[in-house]
Amino acid sequence: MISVISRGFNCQQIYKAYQTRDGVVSALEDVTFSAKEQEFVCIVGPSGCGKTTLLKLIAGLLEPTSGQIIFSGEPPDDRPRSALVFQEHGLFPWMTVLDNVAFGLEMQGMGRHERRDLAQVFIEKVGLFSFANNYPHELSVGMRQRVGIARAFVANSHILLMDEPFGSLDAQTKLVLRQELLKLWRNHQKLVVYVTHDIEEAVILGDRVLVMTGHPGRIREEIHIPISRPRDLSFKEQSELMEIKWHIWKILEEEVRKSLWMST
Amino acid sequence: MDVHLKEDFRLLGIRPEKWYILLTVIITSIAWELGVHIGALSSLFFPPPSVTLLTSIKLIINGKVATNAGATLLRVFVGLGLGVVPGLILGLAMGWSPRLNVLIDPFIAAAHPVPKIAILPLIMILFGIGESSKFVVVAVSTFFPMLINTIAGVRQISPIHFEVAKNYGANLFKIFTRVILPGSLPLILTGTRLAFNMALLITIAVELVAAQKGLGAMIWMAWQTLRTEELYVSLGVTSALGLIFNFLLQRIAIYLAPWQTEQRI
Repeated sequence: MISVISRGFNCQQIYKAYQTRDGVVSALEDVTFSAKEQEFVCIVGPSGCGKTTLLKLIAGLLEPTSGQIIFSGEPPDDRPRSALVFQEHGLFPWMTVLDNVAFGLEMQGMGRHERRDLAQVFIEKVGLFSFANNYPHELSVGMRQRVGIARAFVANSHILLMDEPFGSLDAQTKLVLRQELLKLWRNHQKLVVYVTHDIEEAVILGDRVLVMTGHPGRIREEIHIPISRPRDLSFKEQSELMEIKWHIWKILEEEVRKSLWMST
Repeated sequence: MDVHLKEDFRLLGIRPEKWYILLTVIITSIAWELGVHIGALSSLFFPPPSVTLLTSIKLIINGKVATNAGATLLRVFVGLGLGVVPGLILGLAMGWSPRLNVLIDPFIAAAHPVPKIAILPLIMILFGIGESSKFVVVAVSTFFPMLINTIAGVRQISPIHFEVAKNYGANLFKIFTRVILPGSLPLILTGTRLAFNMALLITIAVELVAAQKGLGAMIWMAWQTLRTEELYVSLGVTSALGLIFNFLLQRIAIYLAPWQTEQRI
């Protein structure tokens, strides 16, 4: 029998501190949580609570000051362990949509024709078929984020890390892209860690929501969202959602108010 | 209802704006010509355009323009090649490695402000009075604009692009070819254009003081023999070369960095 290890990760007592001019600033303190295969985990918190830092630690772009992140079920080939979708400006302006999407495959050493064919498939999946040979500056912000998502999916890593990917979009575009993202997530069975400051977005998308507060960044509460998928949001589900949203807001409210007083 | 877009008005395939430029040139020339004939302008200092035109035809036919422009262009491009290539390589290295930058920057900061034409005597002591000393002066003068633009080009690449590349597993070679080179290309191309203009400037200056051939030498000779119309012809040829090569370099930049064109226009 082949034992199948679930592909996920485990953050154990992560501390991250930065050296600044005013001394050492603690960005993350005692962050412990785990995420498993095919899960959709949302991290919600006010700006400056260390969400992006946490994501970069998981991506391996930063090293924790102490604590460790243990990954289970490593891919056997040289696929990247995780793919990061950035807030914005994550695309290379000097590459066409096609080359941007194929970038991860190129880094894995895939041949030119093969990777372009595969990238084309994903470009079509995010509905940008006729823009494959355009440069990012010729696209709208929403289209650019779709390119970023296609690039992350095509690289075929098991973990997808998303840093407020829809933060700068208008409400309607956001709705459509969320649905597209959920569809891709279901079809490709990835573990998604989705960072946002939008409580509603976190609750609608996530299987689980980690609520973070800042200065220093800690996980205050972990909330399971008991609503089944696909979430068509019936009246009963809506009121359930409202309750969870209200609960999260109560956790964050005090801190948000405090930071407002401090800045005025 | 059909919508008819107004067609661009063209005369002989040329847009009206271009005709205005030509019109300005013609009117100025006629005024100049008349000014000389009625005695308002001295023909010694301001030879009439008709004379300058005839002189330029004569100088083109007897090969004087080609010989001198050729000599100037040779100096410009040999010097440009000798200066721009090291400037590019060192600029990429210094932009990428902060440590190397700290090490070398003091020398650059000290050498950069010196007007490059001022080091001509020193270069002539070191390299003799032949062509090689001229190449070296032009090379030194083009090295700095290229170096400084390349360093800036690498530095202004957003850290996000390095993070994306690392996240997808790019090695150092891939980071260089897929992020650093294309990311700094627009400023490298600007550096090349600035270096060309510097090369032309310094070449003419060097030829004014130390050359038998070249447009600078032609200008100097025309002044010494008071052949003003020849002076105007050589000035015209010099500025035409500057215009043509600036135009070509701009076209090359648009071709090589098409993602930049929209921001530039």
